[in-house]
Formats: sequence, C-alpha cells, structure tokens
Amino acid sequence: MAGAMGQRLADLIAEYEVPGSALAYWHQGELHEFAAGTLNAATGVEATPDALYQIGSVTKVWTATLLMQDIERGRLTLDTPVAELLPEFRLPDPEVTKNVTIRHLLSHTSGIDGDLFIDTGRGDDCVEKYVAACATLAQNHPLGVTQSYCNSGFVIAGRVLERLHGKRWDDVLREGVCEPLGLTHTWTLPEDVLRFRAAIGHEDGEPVPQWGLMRAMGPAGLICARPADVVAFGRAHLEGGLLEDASAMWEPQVDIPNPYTLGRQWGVGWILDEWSGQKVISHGGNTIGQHAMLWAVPSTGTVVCVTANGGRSGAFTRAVATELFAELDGLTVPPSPVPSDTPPEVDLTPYAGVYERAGSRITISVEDGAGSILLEATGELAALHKPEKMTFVPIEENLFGFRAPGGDWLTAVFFEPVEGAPYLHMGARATPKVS
Amino acid sequence: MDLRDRLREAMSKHDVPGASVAVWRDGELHEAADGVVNKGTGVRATTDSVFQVGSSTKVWTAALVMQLVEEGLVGLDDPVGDHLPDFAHGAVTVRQLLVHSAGFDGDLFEDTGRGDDCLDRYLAYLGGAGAVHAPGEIFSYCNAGYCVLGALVARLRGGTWEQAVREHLLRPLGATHAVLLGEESVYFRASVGHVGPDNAVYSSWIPPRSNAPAGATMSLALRELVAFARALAAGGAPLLSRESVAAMLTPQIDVPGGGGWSPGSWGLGVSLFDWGAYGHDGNTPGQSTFWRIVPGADLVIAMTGNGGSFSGLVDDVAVPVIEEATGLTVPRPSVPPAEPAAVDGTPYAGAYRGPQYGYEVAAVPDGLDVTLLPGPLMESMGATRTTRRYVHLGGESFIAAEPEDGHHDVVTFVLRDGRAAFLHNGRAVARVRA
Repeated sequence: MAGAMGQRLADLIAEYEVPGSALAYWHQGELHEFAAGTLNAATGVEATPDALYQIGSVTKVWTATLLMQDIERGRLTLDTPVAELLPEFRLPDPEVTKNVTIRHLLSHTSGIDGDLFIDTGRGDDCVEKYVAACATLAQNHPLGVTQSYCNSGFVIAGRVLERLHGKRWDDVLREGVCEPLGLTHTWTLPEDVLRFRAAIGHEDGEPVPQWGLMRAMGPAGLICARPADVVAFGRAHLEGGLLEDASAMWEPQVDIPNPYTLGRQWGVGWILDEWSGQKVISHGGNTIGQHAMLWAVPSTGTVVCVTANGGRSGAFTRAVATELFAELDGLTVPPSPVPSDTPPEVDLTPYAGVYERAGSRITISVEDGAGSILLEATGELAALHKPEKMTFVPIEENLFGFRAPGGDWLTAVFFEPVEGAPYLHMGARATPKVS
Repeated sequence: MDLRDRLREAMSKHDVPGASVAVWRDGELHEAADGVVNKGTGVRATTDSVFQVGSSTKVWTAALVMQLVEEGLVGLDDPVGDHLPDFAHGAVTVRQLLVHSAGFDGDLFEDTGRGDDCLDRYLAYLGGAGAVHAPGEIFSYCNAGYCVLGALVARLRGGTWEQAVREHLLRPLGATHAVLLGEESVYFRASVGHVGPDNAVYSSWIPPRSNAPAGATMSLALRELVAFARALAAGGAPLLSRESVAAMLTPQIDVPGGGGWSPGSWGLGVSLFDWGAYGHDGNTPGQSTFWRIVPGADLVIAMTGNGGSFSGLVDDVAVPVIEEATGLTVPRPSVPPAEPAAVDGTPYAGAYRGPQYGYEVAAVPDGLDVTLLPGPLMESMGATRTTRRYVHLGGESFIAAEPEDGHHDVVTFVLRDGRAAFLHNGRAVARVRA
C-alpha cells in the first residue's frame, strides 16, 4: 500500500477535511514523498512535497538538539542551572530561579507556567524580551516533581542558545542543524518561507486570519519545513550527523502521568512511547491552523513526517501513522482509550473540585451521580474561548474520558506527584487542585 | 491585440519569468498576468499575485506626508529636525526630502532589523551618512531621505510606517491585495525576483524593512497601484485634498540631464514626464515596476516583471498601450548620435564615488571611457566591473555607445567652475579626485 500512499493520502485528507497535506518517510534506505490538496484555499496553489508547513512544536526537538550539541562540546551539562548561563534570569520564586536546569526545561519538568504567549515584537530581541517577561510566571508544580508541557521553558532554552552563540536562535538553528544536514527547505521567518510554496492554516475550511505565532515562540515552535527535511532531521537522530550520541536524547527523564495522549515518557526534547514492544520517539506540533507529526523508530530506522493545514488534523495524522506503521514495520499504534458502553463504577467525588493553573480552570463536578468537566480559559485568553462543559466518563480508576460534540475522545488522569497534592493531567499539562 | 497575448509574447521575447499588468482605460480596468511568480516553485502568476513595487512606494510615503501637511502637523518647509530631534541632518526640510535634494548619501540600505524600531535605528545610523551636496543644491535621487520621511510619518502618527500605510491609505482605498510584511505576503501568490542571465531566484525575498518607506517590502497586485493612481488623478479623494495633489504634481526641481523618456523634473514624491505623464518606477533585486498616469487621457498603467529584460517588456507592452490609448507619442530612450560631436573630455575625467558604486572616467579621443565599480549589493544582482565607451549626446550628457538591456545608458556631468563636480545618472555621484 505504501506505493499507493499518494491516492491514500488524497482519500484521507478528504475523510478528515484537511485542505492540504504532505507526507515523507524514510524506510529501508529510501525516501518517499507524497502531497495532496491545496496549500491555501484562497489562492488554490496546489500542495507539493516541496511545500513548507509550520511544524510547530516539533521545533522543540531541534532546539533540544542544539543544546545537546553544546553539551557534547562541553559548554554546559543537562544539569547546569539556567541562572548560571543567563545571570539576569528571574522567576517569581528565587529557589526555582536558582535551581532550574537545562534538563528541567527540555523534559517539561520545571513547573514554570508553560503557556505564556506574548508578542515581544518581530525584532531580533524578541526572545530576550520574552525571557525577561518570564519574571512574572506562576509556578505550576514544584520543580522537577512531574511533567507539564512547557512552551516557555523552550523559549528560555532558546535564549540560552542565543547567549552561548552570540546569535539569534534562527541563526544557531541554521548553523547547527540546517547547514550540516543540507536542509534547503527549512526556515523560520516568513520572508524566507515565502520564497517557497508555503501552507496557510485553515479553520472551518477558511485561511486563518494570522499566518503564524509571535516570533518570540521561535525556539518552542516556529520552524517551517517540508516533511522531507524533517525526516532528514529524524534520520540524523538514528544514523548520526548532528550528535555523537543522539540516543542520550531518548533516555527517559520523566513518566507522563497521562500516558494516553502523546506517549509514556519524556526524554530530552523527544516524547517516548512503545508500539508493539518497539521504542518510538516522536513529537507533534500545532500552530494556527497547521499541524505536523514526526515519528522515528530506532529499531527499524523508519522515520515519518506528515503535515496538515487544517481540518481534523490530529485524527488525520493518527490515521496516517496507524496505516503506515502497520504496513512498513508491522507496528500497531496504540489506540486512544475510550469509555466502554458500560463504564466501570468509579466514585468521582474525591476528585471533584477546581483545578487551576495560569490561563486555565478545570472544574470537576458530580451531580446526581453523573460526572462533568468544565473547561474555562482565564486571563487574556478568556475572551477567545467559550467555557465548555462536557460529560466526564470513567474509563479506569483514575482515568476519565470526555469529548466535545463531534470531537474525538480526550483523557484525563488524576494523580499526586507529591503526596497529598492532587493534580489532574490532561492535554499534556498538570493542573493542581485548588479547591 | 489582447493585453494578455501581448504580455505573453513580450515575456517570451524578453525572457521574463512572470509579469502582471493593470490598465485603467476608457473607464474600465483591464488586467493580465502570465508566467510564474517563482521559477523555483513554478507557482503561476495571476492578476491576484503580489509583486514588490519598489520605489513606487515613495509616492505612497509622499501621500502620507501630504496628509500630515493637510492636518497642520508638518510644514513642507519645516526643518525635519523640528519633528525628529534625534536626526543628525535635521536642518534639511521636508520638501527637500520629498524632492530628493537633501544632499546626504541616498543609497544606504542598512538593515536595522525587522522590528518596529527599525526606522528609529535607521535614523541613528544615517547620522553617519556622508554629504554629497548642499541641501537644496541639486536633484539627487535619495532613498535614505524617504526612510526619514517614513520615520516622520511613524513618529507623528504614533505607530509604524506600515500601520500608517494601512490606516491612512490602504483602508480608505479598500485595497485587499496589498501587503507590507512577509507574514502578509505569504498569503498570496507572492513574486520573488530573478536575477542574472539564468534568471536565478534572488537569494532573499526582502530588502531591509528599514527601507520600506523608500520602497522595499510593499507588494501589490497591480490593480491596487492603479486604484491609488486613480485617486490621485481624480483629485485625491478619499486620500488627499485637491491642493495636496496639485502640489505633488507641480514641478519642484529639474533632473540634470532629464527629459524625454526620463523624468524631466520631480514634484513632491512624483516623477514628472515632459510628454504629459507622471508616475514612479520601482526596482528591487530582480523585480521591476513601471507606473504611469496620463491625466489628460484618463489612462493609468502599472506593470511589473520579475526578471529578464524588463525594459523590453516596457517597450513592447506599456509604451504601445499608452500610445494607442492616448494618441501621444512617448519619447523613446536616447540613442547615440550617428556622428557624435568631438568634445574635450578633460573636465569630466576623474573618479566619482557613491556608497553602492563608483565610476572612473577617462577622456579618450572620441568620448569617455566610463568604468563602473560595483559594490557588493550591485554584484549580488549581477553587476560586474565593466568599462564602456560613452559618446557625446549634447550639453554635458554622454551616452553609452552600446546598448545594455536594450537601452543606452546616459550620464550627465554637473560642472562647477568649468569642471565636473558630479557625475549624474539620476543620482549625483560626487567627484573624489582628479
């Protein structure tokens, strides 16, 4: 079926209402590239394998790789405190300021509020300004006790690179990864991207009003690339080309309390999972209407990258992976858990209450024996997202499922990273119970 | 002939990868586009494609300045330092900046970054600009001066130059295919420049944002340039008062050696042609724009190409369209006389230097040998050190004996005390030594 993936990709984008997609994979010594649909519904420019997509947070593995290069050069270690490298670095908590390390940042274990999305301009000082603004960030969980997805940590890591190299993160990336691998279709700034075919994100079938995220988010998620370049990056992690020992990046650093969303553990940058007993390293990315996934299987050498510019893109890339890995490597992508028709009896009452972190409030309620989950955005994003209340259905003792009308099932896990401190883990983030 | 057929034929003949043209004629808009916006991607050019319009942007910046004048925020004869106290050449007036007579080096394309502070930083950088001539002394095309005007607009409007363009020009015009930053261009079939004999895609899309008010980043579907021109031609509404437009179109300064095919004089931001037209051409690396308004005939033409011989496209598309629509004869670019007059070249011989290039001029029996010394920017666009023979054209003007890209280059010398002080080719390039 791989040979027919071109037609299959066209079928799948239709099924998942994706305007345009590209797929590249490396399998048994050969690169395969496919594309289908359109890059921009307004211009009608057709998708080709050479087109650039925003790969979003897949960028985090690139930023982590750049730091690992400096670690291999002996310029720092994973356990070097950020404050040693950036003496001006400040968080509200002086102890965390002093003790947070590169390892915490790259494994999402710092506990720093991760969802700071502020526009510090399009100038070259944007990352520096962003890191200065981190002085106000709330501490979400005690340093190092668990995993909670942290965009801001990767911007801070990007700033460390800028300081070590005396250059913009964009230039460090170019010199550290793009040039050594000969990547011609990997760029970070729109004035470079538009020299190529470039995807625009879509929402409800229409081009999104804003092309990309604010530039400060660069080190956390602003690479634009064709899938073949992303596959080349993935291959370098399996075959060499960027690091002496790339496998150091897939050493497990922390268990993901909710292992049903992205993977079971976080390594250094990479998300780690096991499919049919084989280790799989991966990362996904979401930007404004665009989505990308990168998977690599060290035992077989297979590397896959697929992109989408709208529609039900998460379910789409999952469907691509499920078909492709079964065929290429005989691997089964573990299905997401969904509630059974006869859910187990679980008493939700001990978990009921309000869970809150910066920007987000989650309320778990039990009314007449039925559970519900209420999601609310707070702060600056409150106006953008309407509160959403959904039925909250038990799957296992501490695992629950919920879904928006017409959406896919999502999962939430209750856990205590520190005894007596209940948290809820969903959407890759840990949220403490506040009442 | 159908506009698209004519365009396609000329593009093929002159090796132009992609082009677009918009014509307002007999109360109707006619548009055509053909080829590709980018040879690397093969994306087709359409009339919706956006092309960099280069220095045609200067008229937009001038219009923003005239709006400030109308609102009483600025006087044309104010020293610009009254409004930009941090600018080192503050004694030059707003009018001198608009008419290219400020006198400091004009071709300074310093990249002061992509941030909103780029114009303030450019002003600081310009403090070190050299003086070419005294303020008001002579016309010398001055990009840097328009960056100062852009900074003036930004400062007085309390935002960026781009915000002012959007709020005060694009929005009132209802322009939909007009973009000022890369993150906007990426939404469109955006043209890139192609340079050199092989029409290679130019290495970067964007000239520095610091040069935006002089013509760098603005990219338009050609119909937007026509819409702006029609507002000017109709007396300014909804952008400007009739008085402002009249002032913009009144000759303010002569261009040495100008006239005929070239602008003979300059208004406030607008180049004026003796044959009854005005407009402004534009060039960025690998992209060129031709833009003429013939007010007597209700004709506007805007055309752009992204490589090859753009002058060929102008000769074979734009000029015939203008002549057919207006009954005018558009003067042709100068050609060398059959029997050039013998002239003593001694007053002209010497070395002349500008920031981006220089010339060495040697007197020879039948004219002058002019050696172009390109700087790095010109070299990036394919220029090389070349010596060419120029013969006497008339007055203090000399013309290249051989054509380049179909046209014979003309240089004019500006004499002081019987000796050339400037070599003038639109810019005054000052003599540096005998």
